[in-house]
Amino acid sequence: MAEKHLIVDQLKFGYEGLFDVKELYRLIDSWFYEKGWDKYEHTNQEQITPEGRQIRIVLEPWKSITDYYKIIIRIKAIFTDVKDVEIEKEGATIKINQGIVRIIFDGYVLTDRKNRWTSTPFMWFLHIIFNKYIFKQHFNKAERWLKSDLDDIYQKIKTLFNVYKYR
Amino acid sequence: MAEKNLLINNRTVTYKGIFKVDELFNIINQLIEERGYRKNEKKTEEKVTPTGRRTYVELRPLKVKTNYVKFMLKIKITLSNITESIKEVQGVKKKFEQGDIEVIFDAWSITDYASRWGMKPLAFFFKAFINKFIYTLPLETGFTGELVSDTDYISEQLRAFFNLYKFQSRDALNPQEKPLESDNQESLTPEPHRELP
Repeated sequence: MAEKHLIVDQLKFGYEGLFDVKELYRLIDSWFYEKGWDKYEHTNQEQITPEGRQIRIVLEPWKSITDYYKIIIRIKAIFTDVKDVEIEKEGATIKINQGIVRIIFDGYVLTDRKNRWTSTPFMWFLHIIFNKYIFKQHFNKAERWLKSDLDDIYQKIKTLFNVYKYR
Repeated sequence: MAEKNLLINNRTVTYKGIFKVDELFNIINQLIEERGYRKNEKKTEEKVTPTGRRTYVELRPLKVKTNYVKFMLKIKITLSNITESIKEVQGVKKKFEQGDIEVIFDAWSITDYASRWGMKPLAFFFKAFINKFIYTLPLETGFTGELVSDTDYISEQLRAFFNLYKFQSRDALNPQEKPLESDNQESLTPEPHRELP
């Protein structure tokens, strides 16, 4: 059975104010498409309440970087009290949303994605030894790849919301 | 499961006035890297209100000392009532942010002895008892001192950095202020020259 290693644990982003839900979703979708990730939408829920729309989206895009390693990013986006508003900017009326958004990122590295090294206890033992001592560089490379991609999408989302960026 | 020990709780540095957010984050990065920590952002939240922006950034830089001991700083930065303004400093117009800053430091030492010593509960108990009451390894004693010293250094350097802005903001707000008399070298009375015997 493949082993899932948690590399980035609950990286959080929150924003309250004016934003565009569609633009955010489009940004995430197009970024993963351009980077060659496979899309997987785990949950997409929307509830319409008197306070506004309550939306919950969970995405788990993944990418097989080698025949042994797979990297996964889980994005949980929770939109609360989203209302459609109109604002005037430079004489033009723009339709936008107002509400609260909270996004949580988790990053995983999956080893032995084809489940070839866990068929017998001896194979499992070899796989642990190789991973820990011989092929540690490969794991570190997968880890760096994941962190770099996750940081990239995180910074792009911050740019979209025009927040102060910590780098 | 790791044991976490809180050594510094809620050490606060506050500032009110003009500053630059980029410079603030750069100086924090520089300070934590100087002390051997790896930068790690945990959370960013921003709220836009009519009175200004309110931003909360939580950082958790980490330093690995040994296989069993790690240091973690929790740096919580709250920027509130932030508005953007342009001020003239020494004849040059610069863009600044204006508002309140509060930086809170927590210092944690994280040990993972349970994984090594917790395989047998009795061994874990003896290790903890001896460590706490009888004899602490000099290496381990030094660790807490180092963590406290790192936190002190970073908080004091940050305080000094904010003090620099106070001078800049004084120039920006009062460009016509005359220099103090003591700054003028010509008015100083020279010391009488004494010949050596």
